[in-house]
Amino acid sequence: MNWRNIINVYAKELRDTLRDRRTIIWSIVFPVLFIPGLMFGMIGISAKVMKKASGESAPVVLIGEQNAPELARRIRGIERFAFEEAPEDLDAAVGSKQIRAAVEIPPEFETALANGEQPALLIRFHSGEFKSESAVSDIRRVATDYRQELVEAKLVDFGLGAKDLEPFILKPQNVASQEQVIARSAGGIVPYVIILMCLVGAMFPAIDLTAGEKERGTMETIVASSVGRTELVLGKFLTVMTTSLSTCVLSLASLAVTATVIVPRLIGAEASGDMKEFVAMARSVDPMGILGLLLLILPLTMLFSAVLMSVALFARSYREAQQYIGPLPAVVILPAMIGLLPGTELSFKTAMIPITGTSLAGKELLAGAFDWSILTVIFASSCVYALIALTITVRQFRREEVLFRA
Amino acid sequence: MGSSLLIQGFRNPRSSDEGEPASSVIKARQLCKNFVSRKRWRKETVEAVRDVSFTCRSGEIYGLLGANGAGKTTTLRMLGTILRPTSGTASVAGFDIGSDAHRVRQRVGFLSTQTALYGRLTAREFVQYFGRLHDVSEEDLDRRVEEIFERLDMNEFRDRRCDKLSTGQKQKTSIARTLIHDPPVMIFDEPTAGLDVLAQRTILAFVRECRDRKKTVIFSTHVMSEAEKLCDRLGIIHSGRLVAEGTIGELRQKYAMDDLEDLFVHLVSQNGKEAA
Repeated sequence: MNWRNIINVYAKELRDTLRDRRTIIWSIVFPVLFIPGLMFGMIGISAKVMKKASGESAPVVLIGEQNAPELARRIRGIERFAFEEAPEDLDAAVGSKQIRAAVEIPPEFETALANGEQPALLIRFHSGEFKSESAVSDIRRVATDYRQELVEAKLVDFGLGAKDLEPFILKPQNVASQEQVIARSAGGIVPYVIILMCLVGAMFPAIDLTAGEKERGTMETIVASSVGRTELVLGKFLTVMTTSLSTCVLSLASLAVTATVIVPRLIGAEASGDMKEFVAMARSVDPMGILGLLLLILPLTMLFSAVLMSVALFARSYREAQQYIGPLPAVVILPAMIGLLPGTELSFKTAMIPITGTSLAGKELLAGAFDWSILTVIFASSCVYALIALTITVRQFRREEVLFRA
Repeated sequence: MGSSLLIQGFRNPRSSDEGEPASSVIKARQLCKNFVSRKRWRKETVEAVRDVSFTCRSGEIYGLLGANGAGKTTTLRMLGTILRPTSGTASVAGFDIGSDAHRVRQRVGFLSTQTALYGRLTAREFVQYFGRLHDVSEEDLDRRVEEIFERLDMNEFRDRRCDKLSTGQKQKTSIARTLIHDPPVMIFDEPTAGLDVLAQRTILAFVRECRDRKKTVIFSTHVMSEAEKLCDRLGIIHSGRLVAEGTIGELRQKYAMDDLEDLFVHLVSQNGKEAA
């Protein structure tokens, strides 16, 4: 094998790739601008929507006010509620969002309370509709306070206090640091995004350097030259891997800058809970954790590059390759998402699963936990998978029926 | 093209006729190539080339004349080591196309309408890239590029991206690619197909000049006039088989026909009947 030729192919392909607008958009512009914009944009918009919904006036109907005047007074005390007359078809009005919630106090409500019966307060609402659920939550808060007061009054009648209902209390003590808590709750998203970016970064160059080359007619030009097939594959593979890794690093850097600099400056105190949590995590991340994550990503970029090249090479044209590769993100998302699921633990078993191991380990690394034996297993197993994929790619390049598929 | 396309004073260290006498630089021996196609899960074997044998001497243009799909491209791709023969073998500049494919490629310049350019590289970057892949030293490479670009009148567009070049400029760039390592053997697979008259003339002049420089040239075409004008010897290929071989004079005499087109049609129809 001639290493000089591998370097020649690599240098040429990298130069060629950097002149391709599609690669620039998907491997550089997209991760740098779009992903953080999307993440923080979505969190920011949803926070604004929630804030607006919980503050704006809500049309509510109150029926049977005379049956529990005190409870009715308290419900009427909710400032943002605009009380309306009960329409004929109450369910339809709530269903069509004209009325956010309807409270019905049944007849003899207070008498039933006094007799120790358990009367029901009927609340009509639209499940899954945020503004309706928000109104119900306000009603529930007021009703629960009133109920608590009634309970405490009854306890006094029996010569008891609130503490008699809870003879002892539970006191869980958190031994994890604040950073670890935040990293475990919000940190799963970072490896997930990085793994996806790793795939996106490799996708377009892999298609361009295989199916794209076949379509443009340069495959025959290059295989007729002195470069060996293995040298050609390795040069191309290194190029795809470089763009994939660059996309990861750029996404990570972009996320970090957005979380630690842009968001605090632009949104500051108005940041929602989710965003505050994310900003806190970004600030508390151990740099060694980032380094460790990038190290684990390395064999993953190898795996993605080799698999994508193998699949794309089979296609006759760029478009056909896109069709073959289309389902791949779904295949990658599934094992990567395991890291986001609550309760999934990093073990030697999960470490052996490609992508899942990296996703789970990434979460641990960002939380500052370094289990070197498991990390070694993940790195080594990912390298083995990547080498298998690369061997298949080299074989594909040696197959005439694939290389010159008409 | 007025000026010479080839460069004097540069000699590829690999261009000496190693291993074989100068008289037979290309020797094809019973070359066969089968392609397997799958139709509805059924495998079908197509014999693209069957028992093709010929030799090609130094300083001559050997023409492979055949209709579309006759097996010309497959034969030339095997000689250029782009495809592996199913059976049979060939030697190019003294090296076996199977066991010494790398050395064969170092000694061959391959040009066809299929061999496109890298659109995002400039003409100079493109030629330099192939020079490096052919192990031309950096010192020689710069000199070679300067000389070839000067001779082919390419300096005007040397730093222009290949996808912005005209058809003629693209052809010149392709020629520069085949020349950069000064190969002793040139393989041309229908190099004029789809080109306008001016671009065709550029290519044909280049082919002639290769012969004048004592390079071994193998040239495939389905255009009778090209074959008549250029080729010293002809091999007529039909349905993957070489059905006749010789100089144009010999073929005319043997089949008692003056017109090459009539001769070609006669041979093709005769062999078609035999095959049936």
